[in-house]
Amino acid sequence: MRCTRVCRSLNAYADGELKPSAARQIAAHLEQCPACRARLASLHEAAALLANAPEPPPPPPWLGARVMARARSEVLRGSWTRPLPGLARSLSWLAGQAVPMRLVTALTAALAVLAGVAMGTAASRAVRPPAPMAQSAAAEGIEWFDVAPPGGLAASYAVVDEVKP
Amino acid sequence: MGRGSDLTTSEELMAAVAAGDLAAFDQLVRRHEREVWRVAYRYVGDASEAEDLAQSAFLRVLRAAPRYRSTAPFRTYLYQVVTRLCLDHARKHRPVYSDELPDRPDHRPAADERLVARERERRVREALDGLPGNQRIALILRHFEGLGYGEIASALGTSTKAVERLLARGREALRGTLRDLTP
Repeated sequence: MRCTRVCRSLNAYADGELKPSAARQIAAHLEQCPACRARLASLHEAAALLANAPEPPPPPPWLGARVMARARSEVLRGSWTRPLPGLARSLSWLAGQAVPMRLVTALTAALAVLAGVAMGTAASRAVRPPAPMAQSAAAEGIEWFDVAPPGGLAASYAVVDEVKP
Repeated sequence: MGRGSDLTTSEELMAAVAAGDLAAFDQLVRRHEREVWRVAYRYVGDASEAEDLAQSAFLRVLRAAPRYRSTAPFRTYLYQVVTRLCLDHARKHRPVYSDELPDRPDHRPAADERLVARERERRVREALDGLPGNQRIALILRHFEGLGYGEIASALGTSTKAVERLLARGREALRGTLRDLTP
């Protein structure tokens, strides 16, 4: 085994995370390689340094009581007993079903959407289209489409424009 | 007290919590408050912030109880919750150093040794705080909580190979920073 390969697995070796066969290979390499032994020693040094880290104090005696007080207030507000609103609850139910049931449900939902789209399209075609806007404006006697309807500000501008040399 | 008191495993307690049993939740909190506190305190180095993190962790567990599935041990799930909160905290805050040297000199016997030990503790604490959040939490979970690579990977949402790299970088950085403390 080469040093580069040993280096890649040295942390896992030091932490006892390798499979026994891989660990035996590395142990055999370490017996013959002083450089890799030195690298392993430096890993143990880092672990020894961490042993100098200060011990945390015990948790405050009121910690559990405070957590429970907040938990009770959440329950009172009802934010805990209703865990999954709307769509999330439906999806959660679906996730709990067997695969064939999921397929049937998905197919039914897809068919329902398609039927809805088809019905919507048919209904919109059945409705009579509205009269063109110009016709309805004329019917009401409104001169909407004049360049400058009489009496408006635009008509004054039009007059000024004509007077210009 | 509800049926939570008769249950034994934390996974069973979680199932009871999901069904609305607050006594089971109380039992869960008392059973796991020390480990949650330890990780939070080692990560933030401040009792008040560690308490906030620990409370938030348990409340997240409570809210997530109806969605919890016992595919992994509850302890792994709990470490995952605490780890996420710690990493979120690191993004919002700078480290706080609470271990200050005493104002007055201590003339009792062995006072020098105690000062040296406290100074060493402070240096290690600062070196640990100086690491990127994911390296720091990986080292805490490995060295102080004794978690395996698989559990750390679950807590961090990454692969075991990535955990190995995080630990390797963290250890190397610590050795570099604390070179003068090594024998």
